Amino acid sequence: MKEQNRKYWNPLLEKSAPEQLLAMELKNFRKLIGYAKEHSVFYQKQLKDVFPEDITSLETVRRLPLIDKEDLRKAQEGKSPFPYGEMLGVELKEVTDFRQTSGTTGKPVYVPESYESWQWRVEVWCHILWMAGFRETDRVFVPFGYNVYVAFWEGHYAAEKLGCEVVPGGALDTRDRISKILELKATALLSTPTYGLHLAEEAFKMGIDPRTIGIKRMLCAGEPLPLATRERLEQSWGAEVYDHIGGTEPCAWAAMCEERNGLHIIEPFFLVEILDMETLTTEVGPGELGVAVVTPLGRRSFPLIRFNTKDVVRQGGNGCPCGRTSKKIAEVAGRADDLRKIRGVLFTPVAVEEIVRREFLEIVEYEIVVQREGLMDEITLRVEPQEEMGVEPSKVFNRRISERLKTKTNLRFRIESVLPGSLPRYTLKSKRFKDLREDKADG
Amino acid sequence: MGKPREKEERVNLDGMKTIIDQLEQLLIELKGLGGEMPVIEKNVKAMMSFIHVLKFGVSDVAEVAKSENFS
Repeated sequence: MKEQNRKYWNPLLEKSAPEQLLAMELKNFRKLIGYAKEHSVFYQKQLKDVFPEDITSLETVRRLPLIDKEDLRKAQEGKSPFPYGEMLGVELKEVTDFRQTSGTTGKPVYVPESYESWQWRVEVWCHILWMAGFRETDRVFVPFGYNVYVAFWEGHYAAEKLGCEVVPGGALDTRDRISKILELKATALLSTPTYGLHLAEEAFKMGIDPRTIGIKRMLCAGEPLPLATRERLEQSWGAEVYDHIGGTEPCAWAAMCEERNGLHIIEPFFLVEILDMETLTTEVGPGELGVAVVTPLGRRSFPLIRFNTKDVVRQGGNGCPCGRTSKKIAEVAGRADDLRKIRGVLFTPVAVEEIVRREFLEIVEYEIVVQREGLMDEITLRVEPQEEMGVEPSKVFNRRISERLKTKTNLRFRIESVLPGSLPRYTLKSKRFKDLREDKADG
Repeated sequence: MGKPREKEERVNLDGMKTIIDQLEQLLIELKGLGGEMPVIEKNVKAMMSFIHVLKFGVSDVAEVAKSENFS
């Protein structure tokens, strides 16, 4: 029994019946409403006519309004107390950690954490790391300066709580980081997918096969991780690579288990609804795409109720060979923010990443640019080939990419080769998709 | 699919929940005894954060398992 218990971080939760998980979520949802109305100016106004006892089922949850990043910005800008404004759920003196969003889609949102709320986030990450096989015997290298961005802080503190030995690898260049990983015989990495690939690329340039370095597992953060990219990382490092999904505002809310087939929602820490993309009113069925609406249920410093993450995910139902009973997400399809209509076709950049990473290993880096030329939208894939291919890959090569992209996305791409080393290398969030049209025709 | 918890397991859950409640009570008392000494106040506060996490991960399970629908 004891050995079986070690398989899970918290078997009490992870093996709970789905109806028990839902009961815990609704109980804490009610508590959160009561708390938020009492402590957050934003919710005093927004939920004026809503009472905890109104919440008896998921249907009653769905009657409450959604909020999104723009609501958070409005509740902060120019509102007191500085800098968190009306969302703050504790006294300002209780805030112990400042975090902020990356600002990819506009002005960053400032996120306050009290010590209690921070420990709650760390606990969520303990679930994530444990599911990914991180244990006391791991030496975890984190090749970043974490700055004000939350994911690697969470990973750091959770790995420490698990009993791992954590090596913060900020303030080093990429080659020094590789040397440090080798010197210390690190066994695990926390990284963005992009930087994981870049580290492998640089190791090869140093004459080191990354598969010989000894990294056994990697948890990715900060960017989408399509299957093809994950497989490429696994091949490059000879390691198991795990994904999770989350954000600065709601925390990480779903992650991969050892099956590496879809992501488990971290229940009952979060109540997650996957709603149809058009109306955002009904839950989609297993196998269908929807937008994730997330309520973190134990974080009082920044209460969020029905936060529209704008993450587009495929519902995966319940049940998993790993024995966990939480709901699953079959796939992270992309960001609703990144969905664009190009020549009338709905497009997501993740589709390009799937093709490039799976089928064109000769491409080291790429960038997608959308522009309007006259009345027409033009989409260009700028590719940076491996140095051995020379500056100008063959026309056959370019035609092959273009044809595969056409099949996958139904769009005709212009392919443009650039000099090796000329496209930017990203450490934190990559920005490979550039829509330069004035009217972006969101999907 | 998971099944509602077996009786034996629920006994353990109840035991853990009781101890978590006692720890919380003890910490409140310790804070009272410490007056405003930072060493007590701040360390109690940190420990209370872990109590919050344990209530979420253990006490809630015990409460829900005990409730009518799942007994």
